Amino acid sequence: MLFNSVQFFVFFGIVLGLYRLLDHRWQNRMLLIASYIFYGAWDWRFLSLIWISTFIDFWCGGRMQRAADQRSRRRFLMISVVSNLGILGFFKYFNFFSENLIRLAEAAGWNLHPATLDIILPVGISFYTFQSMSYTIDIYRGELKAHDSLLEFALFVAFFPQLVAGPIERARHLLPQVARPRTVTWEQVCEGSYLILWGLFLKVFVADNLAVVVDNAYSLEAGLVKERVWLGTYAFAFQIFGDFAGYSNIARGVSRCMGFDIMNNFFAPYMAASPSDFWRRWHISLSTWLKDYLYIPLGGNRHGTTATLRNLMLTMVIGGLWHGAAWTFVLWGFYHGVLLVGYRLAAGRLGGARPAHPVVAGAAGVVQVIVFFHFVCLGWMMFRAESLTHFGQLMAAMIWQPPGLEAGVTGIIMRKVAFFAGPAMAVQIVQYWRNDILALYRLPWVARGIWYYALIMLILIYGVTEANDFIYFQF
Amino acid sequence: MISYIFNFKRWPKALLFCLALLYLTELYVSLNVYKLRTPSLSALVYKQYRLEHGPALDHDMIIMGDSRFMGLNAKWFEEDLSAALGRNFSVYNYAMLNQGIRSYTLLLRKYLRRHRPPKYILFGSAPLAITGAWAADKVPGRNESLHYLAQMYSLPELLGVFPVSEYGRLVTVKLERLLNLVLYRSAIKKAIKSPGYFYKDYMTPAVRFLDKNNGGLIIGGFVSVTDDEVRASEFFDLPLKADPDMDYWYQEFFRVARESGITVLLANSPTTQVLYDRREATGSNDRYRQLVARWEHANANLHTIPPLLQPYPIKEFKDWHHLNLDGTTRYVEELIVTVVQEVKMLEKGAIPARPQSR
Repeated sequence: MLFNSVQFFVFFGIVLGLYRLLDHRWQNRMLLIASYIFYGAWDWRFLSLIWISTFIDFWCGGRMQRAADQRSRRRFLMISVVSNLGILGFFKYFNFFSENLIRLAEAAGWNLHPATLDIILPVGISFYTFQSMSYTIDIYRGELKAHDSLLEFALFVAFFPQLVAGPIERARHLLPQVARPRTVTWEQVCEGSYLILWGLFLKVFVADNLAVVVDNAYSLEAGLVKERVWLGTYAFAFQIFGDFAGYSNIARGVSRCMGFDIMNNFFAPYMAASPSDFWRRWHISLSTWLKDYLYIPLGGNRHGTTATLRNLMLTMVIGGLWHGAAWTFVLWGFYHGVLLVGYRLAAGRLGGARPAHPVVAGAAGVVQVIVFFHFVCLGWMMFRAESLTHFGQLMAAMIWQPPGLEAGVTGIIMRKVAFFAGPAMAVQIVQYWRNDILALYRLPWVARGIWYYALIMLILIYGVTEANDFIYFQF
Repeated sequence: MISYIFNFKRWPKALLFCLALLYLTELYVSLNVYKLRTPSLSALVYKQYRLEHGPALDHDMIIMGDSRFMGLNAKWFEEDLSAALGRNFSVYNYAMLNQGIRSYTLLLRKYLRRHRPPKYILFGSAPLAITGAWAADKVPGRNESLHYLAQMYSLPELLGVFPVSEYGRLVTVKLERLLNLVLYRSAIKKAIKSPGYFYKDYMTPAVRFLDKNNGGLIIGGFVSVTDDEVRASEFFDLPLKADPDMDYWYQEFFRVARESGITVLLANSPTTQVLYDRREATGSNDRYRQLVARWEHANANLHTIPPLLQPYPIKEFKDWHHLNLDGTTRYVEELIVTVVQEVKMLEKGAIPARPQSR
């Protein structure tokens, strides 16, 4: 059941109607059933994996709470982490490692035949396992008390708005909201509806229209053409933003309409001026998860420059691998690791020097944003490429190939990319300028009415009506 | 509640303003909707009006089929058949764009509800339609075909013939029809891109044109498709293998016709020489011939207009699967001759009835 389908809105309408009629206890029960229906609509067989994660983490959390000594606590944490990562590893990475082991053995002259299985990747497995693990880790650290209601914990793991593509919520933020009675105010409904509208716009207007440009540009069958690959790369930067930020906004909007406050996942990412700034704005829930549960436990920046840089690199490579079992994602993570390390070293040497004159400083800031956007785009090429070879071919077409399109055709594609990506960029500029993710929601009512009208009209006229999958579902 | 209503400050003014703007836009589009209709859609709307609101019809023959048959000038059939049979023989073309076997059945049911059953249906079904691929949403334009169906039939009628997997799309399409803004979104998009796209009151000449040709809508140009384009037409090169669901609906169509005493004359659907040869080589054509033979054996009211399959040179096609004007002219001339012969023999009882299997 996709957020951009009529089925979802019918489903959500029914859930919202029931939600208004029920008291808190029954609201939670109904939401849990609705969440399982929502997930089961993809493939009911994989509900069992959610149940396994839920039961194991709930049990481990309780046992950790009651454990008398640190060793027992550590043992239950290990059970939770190993079982969650075991499920994730099996379903997501088994074939990847198996195939690479075969290749490695072949290169060494050995003839290995390890099993490769026909495994289907369960939708959203990376999201809910990370979310569920945060609960046991927080209890182990003493930052959270074990929850005593299995039903409420199950709802925390399976809460349908953010179940399949995040944001990856923390138990200490979402569980209390599940546990205590919620009030839904008119303001929350308005804000939630706006987030749904904006998310829908990002998905069906921005992402789905740009997907056509990207698919054509990166298709090997159609042949790679320099101008197409350049424009396709810019288009992909906005396609993936529209797709993922669109999903996150709808998830937040749907939750807000039911009185939940889900964390923000994006804040004007293409206004970032540096790698660390980018990761404070892009997929915030994952980057903070990796920081809290991987980078800091590895030592963070507490053990000198070399250890800090190693920890940064390791975190980013694992973050890349989290996105998918492919070398392109590993490369993408490694590339962002290099950017972070390089920036850290360079910034250390420059000592944060900035031009004194405000106009020069402003212009330098704009140039920095534009330059860094191109670094991000290079990363997106790795991310989108089907293989490392494909990435090499894309790079070769971009750099070495002579221009191959007529000026008129290039102009048409440029206008198309500008038309569909422009609004997404313009809104990011406003959000950055006002330092407010809901800057346009707070406009005077006449301007806001025109803004809503423009969004709805563009969705109605140009929105892709076929309900296309969200890219991040595969992660 | 009362205090809330009179508290202007708490009104969702932006939302109300947005809704007012949307309403005004919808009103503007509704008033100009006739300018947004394509010739094919105008024809469909006109034929629908004729079926649902016009006087009771009493045709001897109706032509049913998809876009390949929409351009047949039924007046020519009427003139030749009347002359050959020595009496007034009325023919009308009810072929429409983007149709499939389910929609033919719906159309026939709709026709029979208000009008006297015709004696004959000249049925133009593309061999490809037996695969079910057309219905399985694998081709561009499929969404548009759902809009055409939603224009013609009510939701219960559609849900009665489409598989459950299509229900979501059908309901979506029906909902989209609530707003002309959405319904004509592709036309509006084209009109925004090039304002000259607007049809200048197309409906009136379209009605005159359709009346003159007894429902035939000639929209074919003189352009020809190229060899490369045909080679690239992978979709139309699917192996002709009958889908059980499609087979069922063909049989249902023949059954509805049979129970109303209608004879179905199955016409060939022109294929490019390239595709025809490939299908001969892969055995697709033979499978289709065997399928039609099975249908004929099971339905005494079904007769094939020979030849069942006939290739045409590429230069007579304007795209992958539509003849251009040259091709259409040749096709119609050949088809009229064989239809006249077949009908004459049927009228004289020269074609013996075959035993029915059920």
